[in-house]
Amino acid sequence: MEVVVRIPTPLRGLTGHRAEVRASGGTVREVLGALEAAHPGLGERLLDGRGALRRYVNLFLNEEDLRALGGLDAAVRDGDRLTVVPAVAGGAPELTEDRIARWARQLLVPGFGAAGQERLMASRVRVIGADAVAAPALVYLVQAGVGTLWIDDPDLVGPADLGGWLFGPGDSGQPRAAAAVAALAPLSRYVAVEGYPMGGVPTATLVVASSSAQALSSAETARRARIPHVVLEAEGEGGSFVSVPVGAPCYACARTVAGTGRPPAPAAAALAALAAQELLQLIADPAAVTGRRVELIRGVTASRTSSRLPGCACAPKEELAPETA
Amino acid sequence: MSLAGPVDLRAYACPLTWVKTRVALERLALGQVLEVWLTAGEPAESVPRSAVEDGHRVLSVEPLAAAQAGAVRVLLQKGAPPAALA
Repeated sequence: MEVVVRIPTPLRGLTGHRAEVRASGGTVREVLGALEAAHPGLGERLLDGRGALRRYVNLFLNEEDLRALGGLDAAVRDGDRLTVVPAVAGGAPELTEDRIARWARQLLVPGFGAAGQERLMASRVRVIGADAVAAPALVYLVQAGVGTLWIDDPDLVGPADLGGWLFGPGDSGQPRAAAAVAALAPLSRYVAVEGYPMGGVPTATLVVASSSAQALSSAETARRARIPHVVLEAEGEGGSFVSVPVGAPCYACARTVAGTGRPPAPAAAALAALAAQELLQLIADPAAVTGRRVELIRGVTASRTSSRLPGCACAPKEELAPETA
Repeated sequence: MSLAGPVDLRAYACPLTWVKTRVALERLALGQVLEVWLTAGEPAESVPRSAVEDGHRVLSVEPLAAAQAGAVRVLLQKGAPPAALA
């Protein structure tokens, strides 16, 4: 049985910088054995001395957590995909001298500091949407030093994207995700900027949806996976974003339907920068952020703590009274 | 009283003097004391001031030994950060 193994950025030094390699075996354990034979050193990064999966490594077999499938002795079939995801706790990069110098001023911002910056460095942020509205947020996230930035956008660069923060005339008609990766990767050597890998599990998500329906569906996906997220909608004279820490009232609870059309570019850029800042706070100091909705209309912000709509599915189970459900 | 450091910041300028001091303080337990070496003048004035603003205590600011002319030795005791801004 030959499976495709997806290798995370920190371990690609052991696979000749390949993101995907193939290995054979009847079970996951055998596949990992073959992987170690082909790429010496990889095995010991995944398994401890007794052959158990290291605590800070997650393996996903076709997007199912291996621990839920019975562990390393789970059987594999031809063409299965095995994804290696290092968890936040282990193997995180250190806040070295050069990194302290790189983020000196950010380290002084309340809510960041060394511990917060280390959480940013260990984070994997998925951004859904890479259009002109999302572009300032993408730049901000790279400059702020998230660990990995995954760009998830199936569309092509269109006329409305040009002349903004990321795309030039030469990008017209190119896939937006790839063009954004090419524009963002040179901005920081500390951040891995990649297209979103199918099945990749982020630690936080920023949704910059092209439609309300997509915003609602992406936000709900993140909520169900217990991934903190911020949802940005640029509309009318400015727009709004909603932050949803784990367990907070969901995006559908906090949003309101208002406005039409796209706001002027400077307003959209200001909004995107604020939304990126909110997501960074959510990663650096999760306890400091309650779910809220921030509006930016004609240059003026207003913030409102999210409150849960009665009976919404995002409520903790014990709060949902069965007789009214 | 356990003494952490010394952190030698004589080669650095603002804002890195304070950034590095703050990162070092963040890694200590409440009440622990950090020894920092700074160039006399601006760094020796602004780092203790920033430390006080951040809720720490300045125990002493004194010249380093004669061989290290132009430098000061600062002892900072880690305190609780001021209440977060709303």
